[in-house]
Amino acid sequence: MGNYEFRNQIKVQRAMKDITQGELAAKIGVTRKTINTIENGKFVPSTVLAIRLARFFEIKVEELFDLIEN
Amino acid sequence: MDSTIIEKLDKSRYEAMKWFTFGWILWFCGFIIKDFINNNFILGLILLIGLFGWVFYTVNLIRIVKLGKIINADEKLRNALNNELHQLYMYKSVFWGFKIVIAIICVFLGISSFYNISSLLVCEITLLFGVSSFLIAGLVYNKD
Repeated sequence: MGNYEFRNQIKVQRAMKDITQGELAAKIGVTRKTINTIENGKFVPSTVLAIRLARFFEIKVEELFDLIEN
Repeated sequence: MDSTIIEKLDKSRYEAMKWFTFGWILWFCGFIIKDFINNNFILGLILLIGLFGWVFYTVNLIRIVKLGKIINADEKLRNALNNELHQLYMYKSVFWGFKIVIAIICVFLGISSFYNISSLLVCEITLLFGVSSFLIAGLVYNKD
């Protein structure tokens, strides 16, 4: 299997909605730390959390998260 | 749900865990060392430090239990605070504790080839390192 890079658009989507990490965390029902680690690519969320985030931003999961092959 | 409540409780829980760990290490180190000290002054000092650690341990254990009650009373709050990242960090911390326990047992097995060691001492040291490494790993993972 090749190397993959997991990217996300959470920071961009947050900026578009003009909300902080803390506010997004409260809306989704997680801690700010969780949003921060996902945003910085340190933590890959579960499918459930990924869908919840995508639904909140009203976009598709694959628009919010992407897997880039190196 | 208010984000400030989640963050406040998360920070309180981290702080309580930090001082609980500090107290546990002080108390249990004193508890182990006291059996090897003959000098009354040093023994008194170690017992005092151990008592100091025990106070930290007990006070923060009560804080953790109280926080647990607040968190468990609200399902949304509980799910937010014990979310998948928190659980992942907890599994990782438990794994660290397990690895340390295995390593300590291997070290004692090696030492036992040359010296006779008290089984009580082996248990105490394994418990100290196992629990401490689990707690410290949890603090490191959960650090902002």
